[in-house]
Amino acid sequence: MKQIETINTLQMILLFQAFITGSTIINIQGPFIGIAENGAWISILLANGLGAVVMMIVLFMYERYPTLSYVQYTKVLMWKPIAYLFGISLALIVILFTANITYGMGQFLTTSMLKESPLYIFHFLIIMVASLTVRQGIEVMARMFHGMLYFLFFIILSILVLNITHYHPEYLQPVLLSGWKPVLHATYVGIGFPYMDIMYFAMILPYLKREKDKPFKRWMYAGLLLNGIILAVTIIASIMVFGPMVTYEKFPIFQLARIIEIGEIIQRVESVFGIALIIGTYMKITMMLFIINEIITQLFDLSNKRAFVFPLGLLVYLFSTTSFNNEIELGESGLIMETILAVSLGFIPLLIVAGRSLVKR
Amino acid sequence: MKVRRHRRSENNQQEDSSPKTQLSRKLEDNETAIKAIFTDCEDIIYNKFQYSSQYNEKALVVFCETIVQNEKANLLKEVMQDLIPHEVGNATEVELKEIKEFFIEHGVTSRAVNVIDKLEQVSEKLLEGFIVVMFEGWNKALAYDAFAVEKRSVGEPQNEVSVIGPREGTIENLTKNLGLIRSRLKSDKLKVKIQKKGEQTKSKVAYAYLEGTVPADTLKEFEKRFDEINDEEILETSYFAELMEDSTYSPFPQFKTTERPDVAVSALLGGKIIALVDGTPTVLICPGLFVEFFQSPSDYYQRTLFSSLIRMLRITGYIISLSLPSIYIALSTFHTELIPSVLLLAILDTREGMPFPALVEALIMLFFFELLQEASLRLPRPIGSAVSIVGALVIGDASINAGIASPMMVVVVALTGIASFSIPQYEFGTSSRILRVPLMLGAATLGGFGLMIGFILIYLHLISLRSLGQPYFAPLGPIRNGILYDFIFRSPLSKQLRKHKQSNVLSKANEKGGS
Amino acid sequence: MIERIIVTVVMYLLLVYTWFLDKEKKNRKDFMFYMGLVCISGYLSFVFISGKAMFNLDDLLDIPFERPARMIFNYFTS
Repeated sequence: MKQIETINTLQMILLFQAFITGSTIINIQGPFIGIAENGAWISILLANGLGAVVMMIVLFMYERYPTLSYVQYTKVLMWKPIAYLFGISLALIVILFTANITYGMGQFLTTSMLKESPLYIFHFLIIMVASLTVRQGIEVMARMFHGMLYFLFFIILSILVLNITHYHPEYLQPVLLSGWKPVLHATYVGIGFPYMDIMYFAMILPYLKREKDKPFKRWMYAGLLLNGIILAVTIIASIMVFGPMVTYEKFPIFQLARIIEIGEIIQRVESVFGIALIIGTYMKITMMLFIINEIITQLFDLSNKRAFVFPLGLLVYLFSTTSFNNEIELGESGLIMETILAVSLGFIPLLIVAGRSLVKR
Repeated sequence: MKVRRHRRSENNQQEDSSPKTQLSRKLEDNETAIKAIFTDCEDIIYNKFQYSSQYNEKALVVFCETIVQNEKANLLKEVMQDLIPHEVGNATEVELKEIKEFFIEHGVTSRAVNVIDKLEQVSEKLLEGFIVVMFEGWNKALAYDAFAVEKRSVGEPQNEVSVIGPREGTIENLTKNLGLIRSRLKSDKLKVKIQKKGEQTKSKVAYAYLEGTVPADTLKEFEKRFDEINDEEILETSYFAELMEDSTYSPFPQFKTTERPDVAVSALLGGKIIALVDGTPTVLICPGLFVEFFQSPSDYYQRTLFSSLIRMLRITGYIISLSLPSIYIALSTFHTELIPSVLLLAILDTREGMPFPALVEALIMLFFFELLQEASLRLPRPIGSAVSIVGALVIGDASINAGIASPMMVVVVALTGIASFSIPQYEFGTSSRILRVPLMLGAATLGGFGLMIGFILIYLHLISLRSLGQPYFAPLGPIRNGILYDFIFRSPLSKQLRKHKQSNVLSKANEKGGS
Repeated sequence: MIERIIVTVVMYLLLVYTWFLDKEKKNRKDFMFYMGLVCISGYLSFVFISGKAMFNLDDLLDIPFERPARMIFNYFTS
């Protein structure tokens, strides 16, 4: 496409929803419930609140520089070497997190549905499809994810609704069995994943074609809140169905899909839902790959954006297959390392840049 | 049929004012010159006449008898008869001077006549079916249009049958087809542009649109691509489709074709451009969007509830035709728990002792089916029914008994094949035949995941495809309000007629700036 | 190991194919970066095929951040 592509407000809001909900809907329940047990839903809501703070800063910077992405306004505001440092560290963590997400998806597939195949095939296919999608541009991505998001929400809703007969609300009590510390711990983890991703979305915001009277920011906050509520509801549903056994499940929402039973015909339909959940991860990976592409090409002023998609995709693929030697390392990377990495290499630079822009005005 | 490209010929047939190409006053020279051009063309007839009172004035009538059939009248006589009531008294007293004066001053003639004076015009007109009359002593010639070749009569096209509705179909003559369309759309906003394309074929091509309804940038894009086609010989409207397409290698057709004038008229009213070529009945409707390929002409002639349900049936049929074999392979090999237990037992029972895995079996059965489809196109009528019975027996019964296929697989393949015929546009059905096989391969290697990857890739391709610059997947790609009304349900006419002011899908896409 | 080699070869073939698609406007800086990325991928492919656990991105990021992260983790789980 020769012209600069733009997407309209509705598409941007839906893109953000897909970005935030995409891979978290599968991955969030296991770790959170493992850490905070019955209080996990409180943690997610708290983390959501902190995510709103991040969003506030991001949207504030967007108002200041509507046509510049994070990397671009960093280069404008800060001293050149510092900008490069911030940019490269951001690129490193985004690449690591994308590899993390991909590995998580591979893990999901091999533990639940397709047990015999080696992991790297799944990683390869999903990253290849994601790279092809990124090459087509943000407009095509927005159009595709529009329909896929509706499909994803429909699937999530079905899982939640069709399990009504299995809910035992009494499992929710007691809420704060071990006190506040586990809840805060889970909130701490929640800042790293998923809510720091809001900051990476700052790379996509400049593509918005601003229409005068449409309220944009409040819909973004609404979307964030909606995401928090959905995740909290899925956590509550998992706890209500499985009770204390839930800590043994690695992917509770998948197990929820597994126990759906309507009459004789609709039973063991988890494969269908599993595929739908993978589509969410695909959307997230595609957008992360797009963000990586944007960061690298804008940071180093490279002219041909499309050409770099495949090498970067290849890089992410190789990281996803080599960085983590086994599941435990993956878990550690997500639970222990991710938050501090995201905060120090992502959030703190954002604060510095925002502060600098406040001072400059 | 090959389309040969010709570079512009370098000899002087294109130059207009060389004295060599002027007709001369002497009839002999003219005759020799025409015979030199048309050596070995034995269907060009030269008739010499003598007229005037002493039969001493000469005239020559030349025409090509293969394209001027049924022409019994002697046009020279008509020329004479033209003059008599107005100018001269007796037929035997006609002089050359009077003839010249009459025609140069454009006297009233009984038939339309062109006065030409160049040699290449003469050869051009001869090949277009004109009768050329030349006189001794005059360096101009008269050309009368007398084109008459056997034509098919107007009847219902075989591939687009409608239960209710007109039974007229287009035929091979451009003028008559345009007439069928104009007589249904008596608006002065219907603009028709006619051109000639191709060095050797010089086929007449035309395109038409309804001004004010067609979106301006679509029209501009169409005209740009239309004018770029200069060197190709156009034999059929599908040549246009291929030369003007956005994506030649896509399995999905980007233009619709039809042989019914009422479909063409309703497309014009919907803001589309139609293209026709002389010599073929196919009308090309551009641009063609994904959702329009599911609409059939009889949708609008039948009641809304029924046609909405039938349309949903067609959409389901397309999805089945595309993915049923792959779903079956994925389910029976990888995700057996999804199949209800009783059915699963039946399938496993019949799959006992099958020599091939499900993928190979499916490929073999599909291959037989495709072969049968292709062969039945060329069957001579007497043995047609016998061969189709044999085909059914081979594919169905015999392969089961021989152990090549399981009954379930035969059912799946048969259902797939039937579903692929439920799509109104033949070209669109071919897309599902092409895409079936990669989906099957994906499903056989990685089960549901491979199937999902295949669907995502197809979806990606559909979203990025454009037809004449318009997004192909338009009301589904960026989901718009019109999705239910245009795609799944056939909305009642009262809602439709309000939209005829402006084309709905296309203009909305343009308004929002191409999103 | 053989499958890993096959997958790696397929990947590089795809990369070459896309390089040909985008060949037109490659100025020098782009080319350097492209080759830089390919070199890093080369090292990682070697790690991938051999299946060993060599130095990698998460190890790189572990260097500054592992100890504080573990301290925080221990604080919460104590």
